[in-house]
Amino acid sequence: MPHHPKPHHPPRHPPDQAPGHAAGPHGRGSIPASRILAFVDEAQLDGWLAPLVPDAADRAFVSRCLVGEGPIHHRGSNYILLALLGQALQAHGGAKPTEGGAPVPMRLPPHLADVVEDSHYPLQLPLQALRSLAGGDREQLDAMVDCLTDGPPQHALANVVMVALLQNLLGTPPDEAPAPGKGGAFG
Amino acid sequence: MSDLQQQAFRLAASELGMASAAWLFVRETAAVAQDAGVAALRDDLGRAWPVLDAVCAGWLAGVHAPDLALDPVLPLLNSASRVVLVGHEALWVDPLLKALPPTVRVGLVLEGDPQTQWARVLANHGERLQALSLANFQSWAGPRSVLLTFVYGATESQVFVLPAWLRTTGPDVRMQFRSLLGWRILDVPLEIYPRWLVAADVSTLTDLKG
Repeated sequence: MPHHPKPHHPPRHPPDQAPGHAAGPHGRGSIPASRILAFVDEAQLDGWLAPLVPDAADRAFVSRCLVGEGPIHHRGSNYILLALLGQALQAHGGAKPTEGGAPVPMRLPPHLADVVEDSHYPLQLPLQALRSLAGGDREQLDAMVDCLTDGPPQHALANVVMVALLQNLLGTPPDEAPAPGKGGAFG
Repeated sequence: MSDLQQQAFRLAASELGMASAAWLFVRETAAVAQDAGVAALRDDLGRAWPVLDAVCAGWLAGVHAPDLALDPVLPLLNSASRVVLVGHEALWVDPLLKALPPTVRVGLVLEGDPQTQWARVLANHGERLQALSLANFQSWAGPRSVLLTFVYGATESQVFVLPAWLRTTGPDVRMQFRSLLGWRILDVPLEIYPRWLVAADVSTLTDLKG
């Protein structure tokens, strides 16, 4: 069988111009830290968060945890994913408040766990979409909640906001059932 | 004489705060020996105590009273449920405690000069000010909690604060408090090396007021 080499198609972008591969002394990561978050629009983020976190001071706190603190790549990634979800939701009329859900705990030192009065972030993880995903299995739902709310705040809070926005996108109704560990997610 | 002055000022600074002690010393000195006395006080103690040096300089330039206005910080504190002070300045803490609603709990992280007699510091505020330590101040964390420290000078990118601020605002803590507030209480440039203080990045604060 004669060999027919594939026709050569030049790359759409020359390799040295491909996004994410900008030339620089250290290759990837050559965009200066002072400019890498230039795409973050905190006012826009505030608008997407407003239905989920109505109090302005609470929202400023959540927003700081999402895009104002922690490693720069997490801050940027959080914004990008939330912005894309926010844009998708805008096309469907915007986010609506979610009600109830699982609390999102601060990761305080264990020796203080019993003495802290108010150690949860001012938004909750909505459960309706997760409940559907878990297919009625309570342990799976608990495991999902554990995965989504554990770890550093910039991860946990981004997870919670993304689930809230995704639940909005999926069109599931606001959550009204008790949270896992507080009486059963499936009644 | 200078050694005794040093001891006296250190004692006052440890229990009142450096700016509060500086205003006390400068006022008393001026009452007895006018501007010449303040200039001598600055020469004697200024190098060792940069906040005192700055207050002396301000006095000699015509600034004869501290700025005790609460307006810049109260809006950020009135809606809090807990305020954790990192650093103590009696001149500012006294009116703040009177102005805050009684529902706002106020705690003080007992960190600073090892010679500080904290029991005396707390006794001056009755039971309004509660003792906290580096080991347990996070028990006051929460979405309505504010960490507050005093700022003794600021540039565009730096603030001069007590070293305890750096001990209490690590990445683990920063996202456990609604805001990290710096209250700028000294508006006179520090002209000498700010010993007893540290230059912290201004971004360690979420708000700088005063």
